[in-house]
Amino acid sequence: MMLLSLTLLLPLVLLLGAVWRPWRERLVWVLLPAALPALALALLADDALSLSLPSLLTGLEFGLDGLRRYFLLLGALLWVLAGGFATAYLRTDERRGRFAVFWLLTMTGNLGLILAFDLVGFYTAFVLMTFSGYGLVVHTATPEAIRAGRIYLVMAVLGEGALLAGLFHAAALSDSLLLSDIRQTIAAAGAPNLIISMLLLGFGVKAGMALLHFWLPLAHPVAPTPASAVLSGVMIKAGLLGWILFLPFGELALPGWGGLMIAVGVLGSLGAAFVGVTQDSPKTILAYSSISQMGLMLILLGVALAVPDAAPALLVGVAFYALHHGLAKGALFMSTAVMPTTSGWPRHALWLAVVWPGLALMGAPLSSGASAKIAVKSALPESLPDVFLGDWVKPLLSVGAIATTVLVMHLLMVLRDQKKAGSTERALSAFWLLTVGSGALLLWFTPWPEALPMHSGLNSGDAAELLWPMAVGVVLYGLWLGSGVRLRIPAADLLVLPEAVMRVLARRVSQARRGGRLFEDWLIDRVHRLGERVLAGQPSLERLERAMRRQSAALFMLILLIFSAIAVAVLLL
Amino acid sequence: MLELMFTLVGGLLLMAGIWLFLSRRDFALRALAFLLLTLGGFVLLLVFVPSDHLSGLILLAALGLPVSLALAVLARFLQRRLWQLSDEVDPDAGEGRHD
Amino acid sequence: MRVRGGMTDWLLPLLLIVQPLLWAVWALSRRKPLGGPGLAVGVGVNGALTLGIALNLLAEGGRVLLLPGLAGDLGIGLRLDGVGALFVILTWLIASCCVMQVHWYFRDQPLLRKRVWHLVLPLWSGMNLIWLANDFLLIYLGMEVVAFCVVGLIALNGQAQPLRSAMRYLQAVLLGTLALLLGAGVLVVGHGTLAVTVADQSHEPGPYLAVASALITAGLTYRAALFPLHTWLPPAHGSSYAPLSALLSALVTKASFYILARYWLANETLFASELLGGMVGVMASAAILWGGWMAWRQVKLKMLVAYSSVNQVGYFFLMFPLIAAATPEVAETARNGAMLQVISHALAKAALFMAAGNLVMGIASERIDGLAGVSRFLPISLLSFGLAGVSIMGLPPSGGFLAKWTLLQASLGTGQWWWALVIVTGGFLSAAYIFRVYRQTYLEGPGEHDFHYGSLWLEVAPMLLAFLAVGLGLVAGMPLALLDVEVAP
Repeated sequence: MMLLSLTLLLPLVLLLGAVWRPWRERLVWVLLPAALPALALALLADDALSLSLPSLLTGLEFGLDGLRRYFLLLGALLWVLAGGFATAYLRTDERRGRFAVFWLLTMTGNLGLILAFDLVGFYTAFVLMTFSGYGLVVHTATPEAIRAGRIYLVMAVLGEGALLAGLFHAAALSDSLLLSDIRQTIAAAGAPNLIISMLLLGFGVKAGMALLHFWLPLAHPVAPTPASAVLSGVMIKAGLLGWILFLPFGELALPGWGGLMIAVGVLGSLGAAFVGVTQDSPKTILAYSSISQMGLMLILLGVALAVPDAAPALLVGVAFYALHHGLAKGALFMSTAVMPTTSGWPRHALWLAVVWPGLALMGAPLSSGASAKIAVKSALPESLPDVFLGDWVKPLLSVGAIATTVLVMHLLMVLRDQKKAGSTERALSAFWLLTVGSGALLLWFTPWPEALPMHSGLNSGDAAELLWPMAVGVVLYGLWLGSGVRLRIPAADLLVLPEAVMRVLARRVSQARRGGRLFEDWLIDRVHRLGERVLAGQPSLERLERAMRRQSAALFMLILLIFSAIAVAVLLL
Repeated sequence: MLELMFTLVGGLLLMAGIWLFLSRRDFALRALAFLLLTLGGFVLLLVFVPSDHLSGLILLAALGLPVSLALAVLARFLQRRLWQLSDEVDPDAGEGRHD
Repeated sequence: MRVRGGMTDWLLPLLLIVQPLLWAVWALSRRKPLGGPGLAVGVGVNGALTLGIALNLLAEGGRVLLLPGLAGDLGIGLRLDGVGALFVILTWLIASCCVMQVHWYFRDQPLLRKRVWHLVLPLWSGMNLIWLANDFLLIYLGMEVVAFCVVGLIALNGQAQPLRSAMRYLQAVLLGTLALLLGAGVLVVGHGTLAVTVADQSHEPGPYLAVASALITAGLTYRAALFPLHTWLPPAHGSSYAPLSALLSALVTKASFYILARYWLANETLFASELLGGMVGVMASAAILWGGWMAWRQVKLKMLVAYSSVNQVGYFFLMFPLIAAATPEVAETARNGAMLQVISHALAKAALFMAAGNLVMGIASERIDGLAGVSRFLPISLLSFGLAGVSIMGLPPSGGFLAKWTLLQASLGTGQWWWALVIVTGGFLSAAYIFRVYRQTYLEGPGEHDFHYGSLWLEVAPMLLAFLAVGLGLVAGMPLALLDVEVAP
């Protein structure tokens, strides 16, 4: 219990140091230690832990259980490692104090929502994390950052509104504000559709669900690298956790909603890969990869919602998948800033460290990704009756794996061609390597659930299943690359026709992919224009206000008359 | 008889107040109009009041009327100050500055 | 209703009301303006009296103290209950902070400072009288004392533009109080009492009560600046000195709402009209939406904060449709929600204005786009603004969130779900205008510019109030407990 309180309070206490300017400059040094209690909690605590504060707000409850432990482990690891990375990264930044303040606030919100057992505590922490994240996104204050921040904020506020509506509705139906009870209430409600749609939308904005994801590829790249790492690694998982905690998995079979979630997840996982492959900036590619992976996890959640029996195992699988993804994504983000430029064998060794998390995302045997994928696949039910796309889930997951491979290949290619040398500062490299290492060693120190088989992917059956999508992906990517490159095949006329066809196809496909990004930009631009037209009506509103001011006495008489009329009416009726 | 008189007087005062209010945009004159409206309202109320509630009405009027007068004086004072500050207008002209 | 008139009972409340006046007389008698020690003593004495009243109330319960003789028969006297005590405490908190803020803000202008004390201290007296009055006579007296002082405070520096704003306010006062006065007259004619709680509760609302309610409600909505009668507020609060605007926006506007709330809550069995409640609700919704939108589009910082007041007043008045047609439990939820909203808004608005004043003074410009880069110089004021903004937006764990939550509960409880829509939309608008200021401070300023740094003491009061506003949600149990202390019938 002490550890739990410390986890939540330490960052807040450290924040007090921001009041005094000399301390504020040094605040960046506490970023790593601030998250250590959380790490200790994740690794050492018993499962059934709880902390009750009935007199605060509407009664706050905190605690830890098996499922949340994965999220806490992810959070703690990333905040610690990224915190250290941030300390080194921002050593010379003038506004590092401000960054540290927002970092600590975001961290408190993130850890708080993982540990919250009651509704208001969860909502408070969620809101804290979301709005403090704004500070991280706009830290560099460049025009792109400000724009990204604005879009982030608008979507965050809209999402928060939907969330409040859904949560409030559920709370109104329930007697207690404990999350477990709220979930039961939603399951037992006669018509949960409104609540479920609000919750899907509200958490979907945070999780980067397809069609609500527009802020993600803008916000994650413009933030400083350590912030991108936690944004993509941990914060979007908050949306995932929200879905897991509130949707009635295991209680109710909702094949309609499940099918919808599968469909949207497929759109996300494939669409994001499609668009991501057209991008040139490594961080943007990573952002799209996050959207794609969240799409995959949404597919799994959709299956869990449709088939309640499979839900417990699937949820644990998703949690572990999130853990693996978060660490891998964090490592990849860090590597964009620590590009090795020394030549010779150190460079190649460091390249292995860059490539390994990518391989993990692809699901290469021996990696954390492999264990995650196998665990999840084993938890999938045999059949999904009455579910849209239900029969296609397994193939679609494999296609998703192919898409992931293509995207990761593209990322590695872009990284390799990057001319700009990253920093070779030792502290940065150290934390980056630690992150890669944590991801790699995940299998060995994570408490493994009994429900799922533990496989490293080395035996032949699993290896084949893991490797074929990778192989297909590599080939596809090679083809795409090659279609822009002249195939130097000597005197093989037979190949000319297929080669030309391939080139045309590839061009069409790449145009479509670029179109995906263009669509997003077009949509945002349209919304802007609409906003501007609305705002152009302002002068007439000002005139109205001035008119009301001039006629205020007359208005008063009018109001008085109306009130009197109502009074008389009430009297007579 | 008395009641009829009160009704007439009260009605006249009310109408005078309303007319003054609507016809002049001069701030101090409007304050005067309010005073007339208050007075008229109280006189009208006198018509309806039963004798045992009379003392309350008198108390209210005794406090309310002087205070309304003071507010009207304050309004006049503010208005004159505003005229002193603005260069253009001749304070003796018919339609004073309004706001 | 325990009615007692003993000397000891009267001593504490009377002293509380009169003490700021005596303090003002002392300030008048001196040649130089009151200094730090004088102010501290006055604040301390008032605080002790406030604490005394609160403790007395918790110990002995609520009661009504009537004047002897004829006046007592008319219901003239003081009413000591939880709501009044809560507002007295709130007044002490905010007025003390304003006193400190004014002292430091006008440190270089002794003449202005002298004038301010002559106005602020009687204002404090008047407010305490309003919170504790049992009848319309004393309420009227208190309101007019307040009105005189507010006119002076708005037009403090005697320039043309504030003078015009003061005159506009005066018009609102004249009309609003006229209506109140006539309404009270109708009440006394019909029911023979000046007390806010009409004693003889027959089953149906008579014509007198109906007419009186219409007059009183209309008059008070004008003085409380509810849409569309809000137009006097933005010029008045936006153009006066920031610490004074804090006092005006945070406390004075609450007085009219307080009286109206008392009247409706006390007489609801007689006058539970859904129609009138609905009408007030429509005006309140328009206030929330209009005020929020106009706040977002403002160019000057203090005007933004002033329009935010217009926006937030709407939330208070949403209480009326929610209690007009509700079961007692839901009505109590609505009342608690509105009172929490009032308290947290008072704290947050005072912090907002004071912080805005510091910012405006620092960058020597009133415009919001002048705020670029100010976080380097005034982080504490900016933080105060930010925290107060959190309460205004209604984000947890602030008092604003708890109030919004409670109002939403009441809205769903009465089945009038459309108010919930207005509340949520209002939340979006509040987020828009608060974040507009945050975003501006993120932009980098044009290098080193002239920056006027006032004293560090100027940043203490807004910080304190902002923390209180944000923390209110965490300790809401205490004010809510005090609210429950009522006068037994």
